[in-house]
Amino acid sequence: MDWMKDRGKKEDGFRVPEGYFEVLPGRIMERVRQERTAVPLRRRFYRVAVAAAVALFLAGGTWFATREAFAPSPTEQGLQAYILNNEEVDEILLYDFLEQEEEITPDEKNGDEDALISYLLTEGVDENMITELY
Amino acid sequence: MESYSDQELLDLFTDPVQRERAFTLIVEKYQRRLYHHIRRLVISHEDADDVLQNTFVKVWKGLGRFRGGSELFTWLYRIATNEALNFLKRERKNLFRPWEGYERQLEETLESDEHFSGDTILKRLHKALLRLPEKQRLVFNLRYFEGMRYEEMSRILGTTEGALKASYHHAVKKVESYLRED
Repeated sequence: MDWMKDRGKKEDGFRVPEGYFEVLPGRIMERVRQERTAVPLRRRFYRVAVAAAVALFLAGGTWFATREAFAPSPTEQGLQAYILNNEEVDEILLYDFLEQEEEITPDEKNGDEDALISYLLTEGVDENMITELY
Repeated sequence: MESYSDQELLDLFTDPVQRERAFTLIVEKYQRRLYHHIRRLVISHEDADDVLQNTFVKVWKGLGRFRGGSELFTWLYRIATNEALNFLKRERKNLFRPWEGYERQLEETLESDEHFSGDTILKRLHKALLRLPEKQRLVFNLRYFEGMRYEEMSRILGTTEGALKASYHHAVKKVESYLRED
C-alpha cells in the first residue's frame, strides 16, 4: 500500500469541541495557579504536623521525668495494696497512719463552730445552708 | 497574532513579570500539535484533554530549568509522549484486563466517538494501529501523520534512527495485513 509510505502531514480524523483551543490556554494557566497555591498549603500542613509531633514528644518526656514529683500522697487503698505486696511494712506505722486520717476532720463534739464552718466552706457546702444551721 | 521564536519565548519566561504571558504563548503555539499527538494514542478527547493539561503543567514546572540542550519542540514532545504512555499504562492496570481488553475498549471509543470526522478507511486504519505494540504505534503516528524525520524522532524517543526505521517498516507491514483481513 504505497499511500502509507507517502511523506507529509496527514489528517488523523480527530476533531475537538468548538472553541476548545481558544479556551485551553486559560484553563491550563488557571490550573497552574491552583497548583501553586496548593503546594504551600501542603508544606504548611507538614510543618504543623512536625511541630505537633515535637511538642507531643517533649510533653511526654516532661511528664515521664516529673512523675515522681507530682505523685499523689498515699491513700489508704494504695497503702493497703502496697502492704499486700511488701511483707516488711511495720504494722504499727500503718495503724498510726489510719488513725491520723480521723484527726484531720474537725471534731464536732468539741463544739468548735468556727473550725467546723471553715471546714464546711472548704468542702464546698453552700454558705446559705450553713447560715440556716447556725 | 504576533509569532515568537522558541528562544524569544524562553527569554520571556525568565522574566517573572512576563512568565505567565510567555507560558500562554507557548501553549498557543504547540497545543494543537501536542493534542493530536496525544489523541492518536489515547483516542478519547476527554483523556487527551487530561493528558495534555498534565503535560503543560509539567512544562510550566520544568521550563525554568530547561537549558536548551534540545529544541523546545523536542522537549515538549518528549513530555507529552511520556504522559500519554504513562496514562495508557495506568488505564491498562486499572481495568484488570489483559492488553486485548483495553485495546477493545479503545476500538469501541473510536467507533462511538462524536469527535471523529474521518472516513471509514481512516477509522479502519486507527483500529489496525490499536493492535500494534504501543511504541510501534507511536513511531507510525509520528512518521505517517506528522511527517516527522527519523532524526527528529530519534531525539524525542531516545532511540536510534535505524531502530525507528525498522519499527516503522514492521508497523506498516502489520497494518497492511490487518487491513487486508478486514
